[in-house]
Amino acid sequence: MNIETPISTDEPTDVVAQPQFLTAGLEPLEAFSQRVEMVENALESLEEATGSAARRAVTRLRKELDAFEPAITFLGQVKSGKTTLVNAMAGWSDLLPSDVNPWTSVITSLHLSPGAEKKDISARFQMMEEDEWDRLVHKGGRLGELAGRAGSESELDNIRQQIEVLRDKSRRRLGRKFELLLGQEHEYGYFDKNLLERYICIGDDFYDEDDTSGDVENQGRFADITRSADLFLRSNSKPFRMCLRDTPGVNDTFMMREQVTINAVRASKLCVVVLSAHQALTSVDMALIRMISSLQSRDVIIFVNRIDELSDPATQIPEIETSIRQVLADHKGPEDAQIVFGSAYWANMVLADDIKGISDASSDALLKWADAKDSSNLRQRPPAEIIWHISGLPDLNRVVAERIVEKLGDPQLHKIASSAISVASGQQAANKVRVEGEQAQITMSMHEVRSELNALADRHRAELAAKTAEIIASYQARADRAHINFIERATHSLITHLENKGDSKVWSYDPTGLRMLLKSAYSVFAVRAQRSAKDHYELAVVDIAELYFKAFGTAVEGIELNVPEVQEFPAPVTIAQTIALDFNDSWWVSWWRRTRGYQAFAKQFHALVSAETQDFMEQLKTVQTSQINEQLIATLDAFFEQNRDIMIEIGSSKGDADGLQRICLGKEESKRLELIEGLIADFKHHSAPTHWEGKTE
Amino acid sequence: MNEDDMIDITPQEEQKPRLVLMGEFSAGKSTLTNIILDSQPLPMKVTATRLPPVQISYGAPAAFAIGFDGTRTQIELDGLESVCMDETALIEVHMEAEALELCDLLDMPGISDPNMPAEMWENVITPRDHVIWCTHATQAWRQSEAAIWKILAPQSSGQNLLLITQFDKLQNDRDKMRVRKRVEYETDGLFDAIYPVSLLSALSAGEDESVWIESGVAAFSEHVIALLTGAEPPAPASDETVQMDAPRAKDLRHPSAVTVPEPAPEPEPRIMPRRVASGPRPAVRRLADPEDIAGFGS
Ligand SMILES: Nc1nc2c(ncn2[C@@H]2O[C@H](COP(=O)(O)OP(=O)(O)OP(=O)(O)O)[C@@H](O)[C@H]2O)c(=O)[nH]1
Ligand SMILES: Nc1nc2c(ncn2[C@@H]2O[C@H](COP(=O)(O)OP(=O)(O)OP(=O)(O)O)[C@@H](O)[C@H]2O)c(=O)[nH]1
Ligand SMILES: [Mg+2]
Ligand SMILES: [Mg+2]
Repeated sequence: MNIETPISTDEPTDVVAQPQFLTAGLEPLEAFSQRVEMVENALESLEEATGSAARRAVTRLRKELDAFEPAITFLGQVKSGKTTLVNAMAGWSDLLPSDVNPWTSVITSLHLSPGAEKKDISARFQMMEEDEWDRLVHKGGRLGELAGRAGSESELDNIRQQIEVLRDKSRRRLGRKFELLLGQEHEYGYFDKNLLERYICIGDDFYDEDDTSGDVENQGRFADITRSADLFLRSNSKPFRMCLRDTPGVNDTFMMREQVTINAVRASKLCVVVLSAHQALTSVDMALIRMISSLQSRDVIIFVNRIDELSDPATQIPEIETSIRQVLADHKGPEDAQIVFGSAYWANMVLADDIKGISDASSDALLKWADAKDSSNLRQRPPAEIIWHISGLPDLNRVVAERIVEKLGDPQLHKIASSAISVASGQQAANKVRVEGEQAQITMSMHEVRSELNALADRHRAELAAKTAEIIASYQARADRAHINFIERATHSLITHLENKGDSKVWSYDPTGLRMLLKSAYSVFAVRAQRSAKDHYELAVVDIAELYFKAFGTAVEGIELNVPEVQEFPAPVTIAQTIALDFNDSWWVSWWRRTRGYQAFAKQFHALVSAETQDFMEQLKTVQTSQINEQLIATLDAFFEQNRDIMIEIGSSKGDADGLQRICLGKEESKRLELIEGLIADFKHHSAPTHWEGKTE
Repeated sequence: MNEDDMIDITPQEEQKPRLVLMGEFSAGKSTLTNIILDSQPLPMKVTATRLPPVQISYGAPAAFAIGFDGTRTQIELDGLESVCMDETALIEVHMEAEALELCDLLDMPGISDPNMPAEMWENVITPRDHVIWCTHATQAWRQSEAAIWKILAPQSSGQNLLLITQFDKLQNDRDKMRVRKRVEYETDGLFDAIYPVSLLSALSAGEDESVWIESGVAAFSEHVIALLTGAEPPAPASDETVQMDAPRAKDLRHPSAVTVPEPAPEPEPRIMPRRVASGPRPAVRRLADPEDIAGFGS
């Protein structure tokens, strides 16, 4: 590890004092943030008011809430303006480097938290692991694997060349022993443009001797081997912490990073697809949107960028919207997707305090759009604010903020508040026990309670695991059947084609069917596994409640046990990974030309498609299911652990001399009880689903 | 019902060379076609145009829809967009534009339109064709283009040119230079020449020579005329200023001058200062003034 302290003298200085209007649209998040603060305060009070055992449980809840950071991932074609838009959302033009050529090469997470700018800035870069790098350079990544399987020599040569260039470049940029850097993490106590360009920008492949701007020589130095970047900074315009995730563009000729983007989607519950107004919704965009939206409850937000480049936005924007909706409808996309139109360019000109610098053509478009968009309520505002409004950023902020609160924030708060109620009501029970003193009907020793609880936990864990395993097995069988059926049907279609048309006309086969079958197998599995988990959690609650009663008698009647919520399952994004059949590409044609004879065709095809799909079948069937299994068990374990802490607390209250003393002191104790009762009421307020009241739709 | 039919239905007496315009949808293919024709028979719009391939050749003004079944139906010249995509393999347009004396034109639908079948681009290219590939400057040369061109290029025996369209959208010289260099690097060996162009300004250039030259279309048009007439194509200018100082370019919109027997009279060299337009330009409202924007909507 390599830690540098703030040595930079050219710390970004061009941050203008953030004007008030930058928060426009974030009101739902502001309200949410206040709710979080109330829960935080309540947890803090509860932590102070509880005994040591229950305090552990509260501390865990506080940590969980602290770690909650909603993330929004920006995806889109190369050069649609993702980075520029992320900068605008962060309220800091020029924060991440953008360019007119393909540029972002690394998934970059901007972690923003409220607070004064320029404080607590830091950066962390994660290099690829050795096996990732190997896969890239030895097999040529996905493309290489494809070409290898298809036996397309010319393609392979081509890819080998690309890889040699890549290696040479890395050697030149990083020195001969660059492979030693793999797996490392680099941390800095600052970041600036030059530093970022070293890690997260592609840099130029073409020789460019005239270019003297910036630190050209070091651009992209580590980019080829960097896997992810995390930047931490403060922003006054954010009412709540959030993570904005910038990704490398798709449909770049250097396709080796496709996998990177797919992984980013997997980790994100909220995605914004950035389109270019001049070519909204191409088949590539459509594939991306389908990939995101096909996944349950992952709705897509579409931002149509670059409206400043339209010659007549007032008529063209409605035309573009109609066309997008039509394509979404015709191609089974999410018809009701939210579509926001805007210009990251205008937004950044506002942030850079340079609205006079807006180019002529662009200001013409701006004025036309301002006329068309109803913004009469803004007429008296300063120009910068009006332009900010017209840039579409407030609209995007609002859509994003509403989703964050609704999809991620409130459910999280609800979960924490429910757990807090259990702990707090357990505290009341402990108190009752304490008051009853020796009369408390405690019939079991603490040791017995503990071992019985452990036995319960073991039993429920085993039962849940067994049931989940059964569901997984039947899902795997179903997925396998779908897979085999698909290959059979495709092979059959291939043979029919050969019989009717011969081998001179290239045949292709749409793999959508396979994806649909696998997806439906997965959703059946998800529903069953979630239902079974819920049933088991309920059974566990009943058993735990019985144990409470058995151990502590009527003192614990007031404890509220909430059935733990079954988390949402990760989406089966790997299905979207491109396979051979997706490419109507040159190597497909060359595979076709090379293979001769019906038998050979069918056999080779079978082998090719099996090999191609193996990777994601494995992911879907084994990797993802075992993650889900672990997650279900972890929730159950956490629930038992929380109750163990509460039980210890109650058990140790009997004969708690301090406690008795406190009770004798009387007044303070009754204040404490009152406090806890108040806290329970607070938590109840937050555990009920809340909605932002100012919400318009 | 397949695209093989499309080749059969081009009954040209004597086969002129044909310029085939291809590229992503909304790149500017139809705009370019209209520029070459010096009139505007083709629809141009910001969203994907749903039109089959349009073949344009010299003749008395008329338009026909050619069905997949071979039927030939006359249609209105200004109603091209009313044809049914599912039944029409090709639209044939006859016009008396000067450029058509040298060549035929084929304006292809754009690639990457989710509504267009992928087979559309198979078997289009014939031996008489030169492909003009249009790539959009702000997102130039993406994988979707490279992949299709990789299939098509081997089918072509003509001279193919790459146009970086909408070049006006790049806001400064450094950006322009960088995009050009990158595209040159990535398409090395794939095209005979690369021309950055601003089609919208060329479309409205009219007889304004400086606008025409500055749009970059002048240099491109000179190259095309050379290749159509079998002359040596000009060395692509490596820098804009060189074009500015060049003698009056031969103009594809009025190529008749080219047919004048050699030696062609040396046209007056017209030296144009870079950013001075001789014609009136549309007044552009500027944002210089806060009042400008404060007053909108009223
Ligand atoms: N006119 C205009 N230009 C924009 C807009 N958004 C981005 N740009 C410019 O477009 C270019 C590309 O922007 P980036 O933000 O780097 O695009 P990207 O999608 O992040 O690109 P990759 O990371 O390479 O995939 C830059 O020169 C930006 O200044 C916009 O709304 N209008
Ligand atoms: N600013 C600018 N706009 C252009 C340029 N060329 C074309 N456009 C605009 O881009 C849009 C698409 O142009 P078209 O000519 O219809 O594009 P196309 O390639 O024929 O599109 P499809 O037929 O749908 O494949 C239109 O709105 C044009 O006005 C250019 O050089 N600069
Ligand atoms: Mg980027
Ligand atoms: Mg067109």
